[in-house]
Amino acid sequence: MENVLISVNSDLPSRMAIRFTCQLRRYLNMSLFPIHIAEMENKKKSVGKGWVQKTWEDSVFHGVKNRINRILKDEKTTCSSLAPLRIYAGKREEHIKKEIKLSNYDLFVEGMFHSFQTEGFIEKLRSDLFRERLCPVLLVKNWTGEDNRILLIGENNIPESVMEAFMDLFKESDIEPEALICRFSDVAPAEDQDSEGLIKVDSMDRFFADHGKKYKGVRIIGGNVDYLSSCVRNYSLIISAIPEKGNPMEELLAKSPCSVLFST
Amino acid sequence: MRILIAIDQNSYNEHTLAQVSNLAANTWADITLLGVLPKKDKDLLETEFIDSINEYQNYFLEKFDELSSPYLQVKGDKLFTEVRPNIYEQKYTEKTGCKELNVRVGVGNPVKMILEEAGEDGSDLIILGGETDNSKWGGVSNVPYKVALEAECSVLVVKEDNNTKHILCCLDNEFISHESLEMVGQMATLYNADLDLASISDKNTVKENVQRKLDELVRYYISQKIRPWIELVDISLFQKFISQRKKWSLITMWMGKKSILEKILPGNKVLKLIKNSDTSVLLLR
Repeated sequence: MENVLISVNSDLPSRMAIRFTCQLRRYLNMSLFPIHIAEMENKKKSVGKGWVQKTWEDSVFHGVKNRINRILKDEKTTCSSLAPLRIYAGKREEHIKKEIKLSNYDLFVEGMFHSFQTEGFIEKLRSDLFRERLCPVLLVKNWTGEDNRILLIGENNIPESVMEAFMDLFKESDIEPEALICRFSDVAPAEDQDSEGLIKVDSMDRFFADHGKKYKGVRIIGGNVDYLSSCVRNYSLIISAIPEKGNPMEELLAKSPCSVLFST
Repeated sequence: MRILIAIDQNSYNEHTLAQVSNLAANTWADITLLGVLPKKDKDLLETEFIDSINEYQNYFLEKFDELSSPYLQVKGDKLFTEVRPNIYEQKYTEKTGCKELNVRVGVGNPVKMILEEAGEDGSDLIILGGETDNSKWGGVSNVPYKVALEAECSVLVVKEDNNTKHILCCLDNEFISHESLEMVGQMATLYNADLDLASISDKNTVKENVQRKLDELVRYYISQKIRPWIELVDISLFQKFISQRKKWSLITMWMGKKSILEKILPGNKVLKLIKNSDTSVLLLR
């Protein structure tokens, strides 16, 4: 049984994150633990001081709790493995990091809207929660129903941690992922390289054979981020290592509408 | 659903008809095939033009199996008679079929003719081919754009399929009608494409009611076996966003009275989009 911590707010990305994660139960026996951190300092300026402020904060806290519980109740109709909500007040990142450390979760999940502006996604990638992750992190940007097109991605090669993250989640499935090796440059190539098709790579052949699994093949494509972004739009899930700050992979993953699983 | 397909003598009609026949097969729509002939070419009416229209009609009907086709299979002579001034309609000596396939020819200004016939027919959708540098509707410029802008119903301007398996649906608020959403769904099925739902937002915030609407859409399209992808686009970046048009085989936009797209995409920008883009454009109303 895998334990999954899922960050929930009263919004659509959280609903999509729950649905997406719940679909993974087809391949993995898991329990989902929803968590919400009410960041009171981010709420509208409180009124008064002392007990007036305390009363105001309590009412905001309970309002949020009720809204999220309503979402969980809705989603529970299709996702029975949702545990009761854990809700705390305080700093979000600190609480979540502490919770992951204490309860030894196998996966942390959160949802966010995919946006044409890439800054929000990159900011999240650079946060301590992602940089100092103690378990794989799944960022759900879209939910497209039952869909098992999976892409492993890397720059110059596919890191073993990425293949391991795939195996951890999909070892019970017969899904054959594709892989994309990006060779970043400043310009788009003169000719379309997408037609070159899938090839096999020794290190991946060995890894998948050792695990009794298959993969569809690898595409090795060079070009700038805009050119490569067309290669990362048709998958339900992309599995990647966390890119270094400033690496073009950050921008590429931000431009993709697909959900991303970051390996440890 | 009633669809009016406007055609002339240019080559873009073939791929227009190919796509429409697929749409018709999915929806069993009532179809009006309107051949448009500028006044200066009126002498072609009796000869070449009628032959072309008959060919197009056959081309459309060939897409259906004769036994299961919902449209009339013409058995007898095809005779055109003037039903209104400058409007000629095909009459048959014998016909079968449970859905309408009206074939008409109009002589006059293409824009006026298409808009009048669509109004007369009560069309839900006008479909016409996008002109190219070398072929214009009867020598009149910007016909697809003018029709798209002035029509009371939805308009689809068809360009050659670029094989991109994504359709863009621009949503600016929760007012989009169910009929429009169904039409977008039909297009996604027709193009066998995923659906990119671009939600126009202000400073990347999405109101609760818009989120609810997006959730409904996502669930609706998934139930229709269409994969929906949501993307937030800030109003200030919309024109930059739409300029990546090669990403899509069809761009659909809701241009109702309450649409903010009307404000951020004034007429000349819509013209550019329709004129310069290799991508088909569907304006929903």
